[in-house]
Amino acid sequence: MKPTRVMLTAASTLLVSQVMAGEAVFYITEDGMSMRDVAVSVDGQKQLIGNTGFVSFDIDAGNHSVELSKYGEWLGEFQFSTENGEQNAEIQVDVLGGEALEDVVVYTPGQEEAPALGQISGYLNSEETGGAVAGASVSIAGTDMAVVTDEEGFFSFELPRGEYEVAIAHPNYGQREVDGVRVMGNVNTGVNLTLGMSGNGVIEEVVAVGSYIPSTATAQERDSSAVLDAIGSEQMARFGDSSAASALKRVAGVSVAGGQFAIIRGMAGRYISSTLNGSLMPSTDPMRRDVPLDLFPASVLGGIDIQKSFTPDLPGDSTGGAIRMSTKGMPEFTGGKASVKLGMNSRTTFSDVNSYEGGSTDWMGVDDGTREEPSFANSFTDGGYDVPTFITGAERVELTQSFDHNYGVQQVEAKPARGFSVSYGKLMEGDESTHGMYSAFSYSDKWTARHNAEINDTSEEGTYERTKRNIDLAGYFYYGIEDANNLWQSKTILLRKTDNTTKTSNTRDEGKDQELNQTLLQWVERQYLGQQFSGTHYFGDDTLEWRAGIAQTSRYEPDRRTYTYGRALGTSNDFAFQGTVERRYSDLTENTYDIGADYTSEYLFDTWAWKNKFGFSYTTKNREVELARYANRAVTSSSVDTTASLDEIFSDTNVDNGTVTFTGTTTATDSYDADEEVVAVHGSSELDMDSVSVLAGLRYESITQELDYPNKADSQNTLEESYVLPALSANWRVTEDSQLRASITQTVSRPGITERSESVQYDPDTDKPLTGNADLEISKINNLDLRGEYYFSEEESVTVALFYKDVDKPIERQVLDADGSAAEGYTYDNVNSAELKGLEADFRLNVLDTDRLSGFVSGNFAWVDSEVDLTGTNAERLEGASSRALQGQSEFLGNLQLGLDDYESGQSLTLLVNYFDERIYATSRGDLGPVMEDGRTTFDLVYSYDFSDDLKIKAKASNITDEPVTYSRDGRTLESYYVGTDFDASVEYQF
Amino acid sequence: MELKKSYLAVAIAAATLVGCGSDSSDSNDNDSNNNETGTYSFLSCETESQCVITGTIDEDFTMSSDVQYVLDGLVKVGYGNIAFTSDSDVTTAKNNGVTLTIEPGTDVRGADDGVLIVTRGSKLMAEGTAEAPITFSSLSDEDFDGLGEWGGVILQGLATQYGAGNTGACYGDGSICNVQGEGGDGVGFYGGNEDGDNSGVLKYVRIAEAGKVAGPNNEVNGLTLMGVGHGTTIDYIQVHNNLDDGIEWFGGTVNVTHAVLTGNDDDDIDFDTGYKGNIQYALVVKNADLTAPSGSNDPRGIEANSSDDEYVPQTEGALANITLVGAAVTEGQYGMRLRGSLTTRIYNTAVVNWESCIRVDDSDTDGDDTVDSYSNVTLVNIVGDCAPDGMYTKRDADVATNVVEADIDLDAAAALTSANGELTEAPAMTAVDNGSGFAFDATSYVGAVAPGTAAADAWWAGWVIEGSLDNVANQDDPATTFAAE
Repeated sequence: MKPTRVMLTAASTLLVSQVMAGEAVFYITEDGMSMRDVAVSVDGQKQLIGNTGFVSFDIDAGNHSVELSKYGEWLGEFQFSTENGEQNAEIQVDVLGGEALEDVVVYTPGQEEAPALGQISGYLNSEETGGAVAGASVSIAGTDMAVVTDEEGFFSFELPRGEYEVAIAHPNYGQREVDGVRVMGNVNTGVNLTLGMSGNGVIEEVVAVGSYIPSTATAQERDSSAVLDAIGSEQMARFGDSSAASALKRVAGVSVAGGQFAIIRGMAGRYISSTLNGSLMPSTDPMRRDVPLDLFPASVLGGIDIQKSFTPDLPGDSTGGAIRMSTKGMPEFTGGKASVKLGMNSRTTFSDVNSYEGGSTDWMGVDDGTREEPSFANSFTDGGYDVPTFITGAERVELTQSFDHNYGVQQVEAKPARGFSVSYGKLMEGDESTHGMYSAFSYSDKWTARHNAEINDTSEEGTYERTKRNIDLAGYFYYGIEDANNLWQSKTILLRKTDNTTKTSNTRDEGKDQELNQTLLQWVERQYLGQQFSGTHYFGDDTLEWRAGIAQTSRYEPDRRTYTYGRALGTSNDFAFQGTVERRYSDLTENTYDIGADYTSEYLFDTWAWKNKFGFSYTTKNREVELARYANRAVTSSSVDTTASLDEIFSDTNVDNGTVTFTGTTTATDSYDADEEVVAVHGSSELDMDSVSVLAGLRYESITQELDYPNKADSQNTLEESYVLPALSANWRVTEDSQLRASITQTVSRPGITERSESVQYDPDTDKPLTGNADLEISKINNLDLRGEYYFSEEESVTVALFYKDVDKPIERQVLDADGSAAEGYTYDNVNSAELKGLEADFRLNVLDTDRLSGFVSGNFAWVDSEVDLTGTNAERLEGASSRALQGQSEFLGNLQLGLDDYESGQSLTLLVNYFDERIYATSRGDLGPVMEDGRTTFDLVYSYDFSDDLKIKAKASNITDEPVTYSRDGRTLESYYVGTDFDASVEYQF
Repeated sequence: MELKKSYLAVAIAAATLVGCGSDSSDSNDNDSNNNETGTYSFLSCETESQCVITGTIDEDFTMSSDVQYVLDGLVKVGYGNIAFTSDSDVTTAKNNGVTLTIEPGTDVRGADDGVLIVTRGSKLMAEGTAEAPITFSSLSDEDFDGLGEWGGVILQGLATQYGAGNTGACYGDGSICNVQGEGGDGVGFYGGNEDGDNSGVLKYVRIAEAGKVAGPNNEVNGLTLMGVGHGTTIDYIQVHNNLDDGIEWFGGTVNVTHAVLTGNDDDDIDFDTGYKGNIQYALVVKNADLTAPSGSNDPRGIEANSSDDEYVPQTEGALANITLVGAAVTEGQYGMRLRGSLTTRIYNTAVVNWESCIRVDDSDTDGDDTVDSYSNVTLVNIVGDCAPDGMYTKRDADVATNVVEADIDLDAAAALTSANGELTEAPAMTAVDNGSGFAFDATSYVGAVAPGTAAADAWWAGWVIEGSLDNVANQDDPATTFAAE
């Protein structure tokens, strides 16, 4: 939910709880920051300033003398006078360089022409998740002022001086009241709160971190120019979402393909940008630029923003949206958490599933060397690419012997899912600054399987079994230093995800008149390792934010083994080994260096504010993919019984006497190097005129992409281009509880680095040939966005957004002119144009609100219509259609959440429904329609019980209805399988 | 398109250089093995009798019969396999075409990853003689028993290809065509709209033990004809022990006569994607020693077009005097599988020792399990000896004249000895009009070889790989292993 600032201009009409007697209020700052432990003595009466930063005295008319000291050390003294008992005094003292400079304002309450204004602002954080609490309603008792906290948990009010009571309400965290919050003229009172889900109550302590501000106008104007959605970590926790991928699909207009890649507003990978803590993300997928989001576990994520309209501070390819992930920041308190998790799947757990013999450290998700490419094979054949031309028979035997010939599939019992996580945060508050550290570690081990999987294509029908064991490891370390004007942060992230896959299929191929048994053994370790430093510095009204990061992603896939056995269709012969067993070793490493800075300055003119933001970023990525293939040469000896198992065919005897031999089969384009450099400079200016604000800005990007094949020197490809992207947006706060936003922007979509290849490359996932298109151009997109928000109560709201996008020369994946096995592949081309229009609606309603129980319904809905114009292109001839929808675009997407909270017992229950409509999975040739991934509805139920202050129990049932996953074409189901219902339970202990 | 242009520039520069030093190819003809390696970037000779060829043959070159040439990796002739974007690219490719000449009797060997690709605009002049045929085989051994020990020979031309799924000529409304060929990352593009294109001559050429190139499950044909035009001559060609098909035509118009296809692991005569051409005298004999294919193959004698949604109604082949001899390895397979809405006429042909002689399939083009488009098969003078399923599977031919099931006996010349081998008169045989003016020889017998011919006098005798047809007389009985299901 976008930060909702309901404008507070009619201050004079507000009812304020007034102080009745003469009073002197002191607020002491040091270099602008609230100062504590100062002893204030007025006319001999002495009080100590505590955490609130305020202290007040009853005073009579006359002269008053003030003395300030800290720990017995004299700070300063001064005098002031009041004329009568009605008069109050506001005294701000700023200690600058050891000298106390007082500013005394004497006034008579109720008799001021325009009461001086101050601010209350602060951040709400969750005790449970450590992250921000977004979407909480914050109101000022006795007034009709209310705001909703933004994705950072931030809220802010501008109020006449006085003392107020702040009320906070959130469906998960309940209600809180903070009494006696002081507002002084020109002072921002900070109210930073940590909320637990443990019940309602009055908060005893308000920590003032606010600073003296020289003007009454809003110093904390939030960036409200963009259409933004956010998922806070508390929401992820509530919905039981375990990774960025599962959390994202809860957002209006967002769906996730293959559990990994986001589709925003019907636009997939190339139209989405992803950043982590502001830095561009490297991918672990050799064929894609977009980031597999399942890599980011909830345990390290602080929140995710999905900004759907472009602003100049975002990467230029943020067309559908920008996914901005941030990891956890400064801890809110000192303490730790430990949790254990156990889960089972209704179909998989305890059933017999496919597996194969691995290494001794498989349980850690780390191959112990069992699958490592034999070093002899690697060096003798240059990674399978260059087998010596005059290789001898003895060398062939030696090459074959260097492999461990182990191919068998076993049945094992799938174990329950297990996992644990520990985290510890420490907050060290000093006089000058606060230091905080946070570290987290988590591990999980889970088996998943596809059940009753069926294939029913035109020429191929059959069944398959696919089992995956997923082992995830995450480690995170944060260190931050914060003082009045500065925040320095260091974030160290290690994420690992290992998938061990065994797939066996039995298909009947009408085209080949054969029945085939195919086997795949695959081990993939994906890893993200990153170190980032960042800082935020305040210079009066100006802010400088910078970041510098280095990250390495890798994908290590050693010894992927594939082989086929077959027999004549309709016979009961023994299956015979056919063709080759391929052993493939691939290793991707991508290094990213990223630096960037943004400078925000603000000028205030009476009630107008003018904000400027400038920044630059420089990112360079280098990707190296090394892939080696080895396969046996055709088995022609009549002494080999090809109906025996592979382990027998490749027996020591057959290997040693050279009856069966291996050779290198790596292609020239299997290994590649890719470099990408993006230099960006952006500037924007925003003018806030009471109820209307307008932002205009430009982003300049210069990109260089270079693709090199070490084994194929003549296929180098370079793309160099620079462009300027304009953005214009306006925000109109129509009333206190509604606003309208509109924007018109331009973005780009770049070809993926391997898509401009001059050669054929094999898709590592499907082994299908991908024919590059060296002529691919950058496409330009014009975006139009309109969004209205209406808050009809403190917690309830409706948002409606409309968008229109016009893509010039979109890059589409398509079938190509090709023959034989090349025709199974695909290529990319710039087609004429594409047009998208859509509508999104978001709502939240409270349906139950008693002292004990509260219930809400929230949800979102998106309708997207897209049309790609293929007229006159190769695609029109090959697909037999002059237009179609964008690939991956669903017409309808929806989410519904029903929540029920019992405050007293600390229990909550949430039902989540997610729906996506059918979308194009792949286009087809000739008379066939495109292959569609069929629409699907999933139901999840999450239960949480705060057993005590330290102990919390959580349970989740996901995919309750267990609808089959299906793919179809022209209404014929081509593939279907079931994944089962997951039941997970976790116990969390806080210490 | 900068890179492509630079390719062309290189090609032009190379051609110009050749033009200037006009004596270079002549001197090479005389003593190519004698200190000439320095002049060719693609050639290196360790000894006087063996030279290794790598990369692109970018100027005219002649392989001499007293040298063994080793194809190391993907060896391209010319630069015509890059994507063309304009008619001038086509003209440039033709103007800068390279000719590779192979002398009669030359021994060409493929290393594990060896492949020869003759690209658009370039020519392969491989004219052997019956006494001195040209042989392509593997470097890894001296025999011809292996399968898939090296890649194979690929010719690419500028003739028309029609896409699977009835998507029409690949040049669409224009004239430029770039079809991605199968066979790995280096194959590149072929095709165009010049059906009379000439890729050279293959005569008395034997290609053995080929069929495997780099990449996942990448089996290629012994001789692959990609968009090859009818200006090309292919006569007296043998493909032996290939891991994939014997000869496969992808589109194009080239006619082939006198083909011997022995021991191939997949199909022997495979034409697809709009091939329009004629084939006369082909002898197909499967390997009698295998019980199952070694590759991921479905061995048939003739496979025309692909199934159902991959139909290409433009494909049209006329074949005469073909003998298809199966073996145990062809269990479950057909002598001919004719499908994908093709038009074909087959004359004077014998099919023996397959589970079923002929399978004709029509096309369900949109995956709704109903037939939308029909194949058109004309059979004249066909003798079939197939068990247990007999002549036809699925359906009969559209037009069948003198199609008989009878016991077939072959002699050592691979001619039919049974009475049904002789015809009372030569039938009228209608060739495919592909612009070549091809006319079939009138023959009054069934099969590839005229009955009564002595083995030593058969058209294949003397030049085929020794022993490759020795067993043919014993392969004329349906294998008893083909159990009825």
